[in-house]
Amino acid sequence: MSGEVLVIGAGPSGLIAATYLTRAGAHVVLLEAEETPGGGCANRVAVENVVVPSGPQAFAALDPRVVKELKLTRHGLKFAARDLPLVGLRSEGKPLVLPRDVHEARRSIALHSERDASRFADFRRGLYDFARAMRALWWEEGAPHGEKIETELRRLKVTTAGALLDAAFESEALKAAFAFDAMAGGMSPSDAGSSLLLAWRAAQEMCGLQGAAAIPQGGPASLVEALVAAAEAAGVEIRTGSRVERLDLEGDRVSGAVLAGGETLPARFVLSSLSRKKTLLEFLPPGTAGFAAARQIERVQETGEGKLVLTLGALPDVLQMPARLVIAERLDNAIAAHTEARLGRIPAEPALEVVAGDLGSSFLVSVTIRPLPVTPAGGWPTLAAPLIQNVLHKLERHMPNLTAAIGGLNLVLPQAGEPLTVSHMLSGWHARIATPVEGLLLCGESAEPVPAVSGRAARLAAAMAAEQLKGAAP
Amino acid sequence: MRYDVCIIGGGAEGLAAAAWLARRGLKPVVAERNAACGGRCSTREFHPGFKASPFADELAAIPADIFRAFDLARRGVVLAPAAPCGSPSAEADAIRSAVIKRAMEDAARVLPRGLFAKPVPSRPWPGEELAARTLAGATRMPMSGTVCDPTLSGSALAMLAGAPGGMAAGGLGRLGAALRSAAEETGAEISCGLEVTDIRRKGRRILGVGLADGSEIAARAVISTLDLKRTFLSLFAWNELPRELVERVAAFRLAPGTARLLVALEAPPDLPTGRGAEYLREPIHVAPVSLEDATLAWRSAAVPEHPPAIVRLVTAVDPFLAPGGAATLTVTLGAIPHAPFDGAWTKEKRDRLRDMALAAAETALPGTGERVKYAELLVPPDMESMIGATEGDLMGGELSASQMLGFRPFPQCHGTRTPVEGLYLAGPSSALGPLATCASGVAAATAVLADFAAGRLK
Repeated sequence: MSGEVLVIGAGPSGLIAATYLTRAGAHVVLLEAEETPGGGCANRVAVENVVVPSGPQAFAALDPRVVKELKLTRHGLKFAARDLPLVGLRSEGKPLVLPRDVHEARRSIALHSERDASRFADFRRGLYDFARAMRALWWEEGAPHGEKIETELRRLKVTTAGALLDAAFESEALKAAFAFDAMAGGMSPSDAGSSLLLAWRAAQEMCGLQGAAAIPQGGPASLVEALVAAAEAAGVEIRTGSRVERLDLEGDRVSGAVLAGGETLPARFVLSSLSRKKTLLEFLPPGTAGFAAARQIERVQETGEGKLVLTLGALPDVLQMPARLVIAERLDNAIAAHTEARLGRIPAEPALEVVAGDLGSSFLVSVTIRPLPVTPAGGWPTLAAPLIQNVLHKLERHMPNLTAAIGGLNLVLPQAGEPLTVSHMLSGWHARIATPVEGLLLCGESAEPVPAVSGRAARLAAAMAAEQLKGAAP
Repeated sequence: MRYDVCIIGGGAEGLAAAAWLARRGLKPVVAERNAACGGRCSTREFHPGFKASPFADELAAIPADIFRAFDLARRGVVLAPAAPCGSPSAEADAIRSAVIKRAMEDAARVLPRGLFAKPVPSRPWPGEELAARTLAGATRMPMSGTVCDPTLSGSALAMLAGAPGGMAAGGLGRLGAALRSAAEETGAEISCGLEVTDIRRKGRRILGVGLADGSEIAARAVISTLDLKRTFLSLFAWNELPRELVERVAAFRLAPGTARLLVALEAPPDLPTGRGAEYLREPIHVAPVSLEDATLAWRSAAVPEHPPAIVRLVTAVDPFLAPGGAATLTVTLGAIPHAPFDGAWTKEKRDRLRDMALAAAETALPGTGERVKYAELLVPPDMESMIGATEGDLMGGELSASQMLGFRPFPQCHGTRTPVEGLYLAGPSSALGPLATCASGVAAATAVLADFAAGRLK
């Protein structure tokens, strides 16, 4: 039976969904618009004489079950570092080192504030317990149980990360370092529910370690290689250079996809790893998703994150040890930066996250800049250069002579995603994956509670489609 | 002489609580620091013949049943119809009354001891879903009387708080006087000029309050109508309360300070061309180019270049506030820092702010500038010293999602009770504070009555 299932987009999510479905016995065609698979993890951004991915360098959310079930380790996935500590750099005083080990973290915090050091363990235990309970909502069917957790959820969904951190700690170093994780999806630490982002971050189990972050050996592209190898081993048909133009409907049900060249592929199921907006508004005839829903989906994120990628001949001292370096002085700066970005200006004091990787002959440093306006007043062509100047100036303060060592650089501009809302973060996985069109499922980042490369939505969407295929078979 | 309840602060909430308790047979005493009670509900002659209510022109609405219970209409409280500003929606009205009902129910219920020790399970408060939706930027416009920070999420909740109750004829002072007579008639004792400096306890039992002159009022329970920070950080010794509670109070966020300019005009300003006569009766919002910039400036303790302003010609609604042929005008400026980064409020800084306020008045009502006879400016430190509003924040705490409804001031408080046994919180920092006038005082009184009935307060 050909053309049973189409998966759109061969990014990590698409690859994972296609592999699971093939292994469940479906015939799967994976369509990729570009010439190579990988999406945000593929090497597509040119810096000097190398190409690097546009997406994140370190992973914090990859589902360990996916790694295990798809045997990614056997297909060549290795991690260069499994447990990156979070290091907050300060313009004055010692850096704040926050490893996962709570005793080491306490020792480092004590250099900034004795009081915070004594409260850190409690804060983290509370957050981890809550996060563990929230998994029930995020990845399993059901709601978090227990009176304490329910009360906590009611409180956190209206609490801003700023208020949560202000209440817990006094040291600006600690608050600012944590605030970086509370700024995903264009959310400001002064947005209601941004404290849930901290809980979501804590709920991740990267390489089996709660709340860790890891860098694959050879960069994100090696994750793609492993996923492609797993997909090919399973028998997925990957068609690159096939851009989907629209989806065909038969009544309420999806019946196939039409490619840019005019070719029509029939399908009983379509899994899209593209955004909800693209899938529902661009591929389908207007009104299919419902007009009220369309208005909801249409909203564009005002602020996002940019990335400055540098190649260096030699690594500065502070980057020798694998770590996530966060350069953010104060929590209030992050809030002010969001306000500025929402007004379409380039913030004067954005928060930066620096992760270094080894390219063999040289080193790659990617600097995530949060937040940036998606469409700044004045346009990117005139604003990019001063922004790069500003970021380099900030880096130089912590890494002397960095500018001299730079081989090449490139700025990845913020992409307009879907604005993250509390109601999206708190919806069950079924509601995030399903669409109003029968047979059409979402399996990419927009089906995750918080956009990230996790593979959880892909795994669940594949399971859902496989079950329905089995049920439909005679 | 031992009282049943000592109420700190003789504003609307304190007087309402006293009246409510006295009607039910308890013996309350109100300790007011100023020479006259009324708090926000006071009206002053700031220039011979010109009167204005210095802290607000209007307060949130008084719930109808409380208005009736205190017989306020008979006592001469006439409220000019609420201005259509902020156009509170039917949804907001429904939520507000549901929240008030819920707070009263909770107050009448006896809760287990030790609020922080044992979390009391409770169903969600009405409106919590609304609070959970991210509503950043939803109120770009200042609501009646208050100016909200539009960068705060859930700032749309301020629309619940912004329900205007209308202006009292003769100024808010008339409302204060009416409440005082309602309280005194039932036998409550009201003493002005008594400054409470500390709450005295023996173990976990309240003994009473200590006064600035060294004397003491013995009482079995205390209702504080001060804001949260002032209540817990200034009425207790630094080491008396559990650390967790003190830190929690310290983390409570304050809203931007407010400055007010009271202006005596020789003659009423002309109606700007193209406006209906109603224009003069409404609060006129002079919104800055960017409210965000104004709040950013406030965050860094600077006076904004263009603070948000509300201009109100009070004599258009109530002509008796000025001599015949003259007019009184107020300008409310939002996002004014309590302690500017470059030092305390000097005369030059005050003059500059005064000019800003007059410029806003000129924008709203051209021609006011040349008719100014006298103008008095109140900056946030004045608000703090006059009515005890910490850092000049008249809202008693930021109106953000996590500090509204059942989350105000802490989720465990259920609106009025506090972790200190025998101490109840009414006033702007309590759950009902920003939503309605008199309601938080009545809720605190209800909780006291319930706890007395249960034999909790010995």
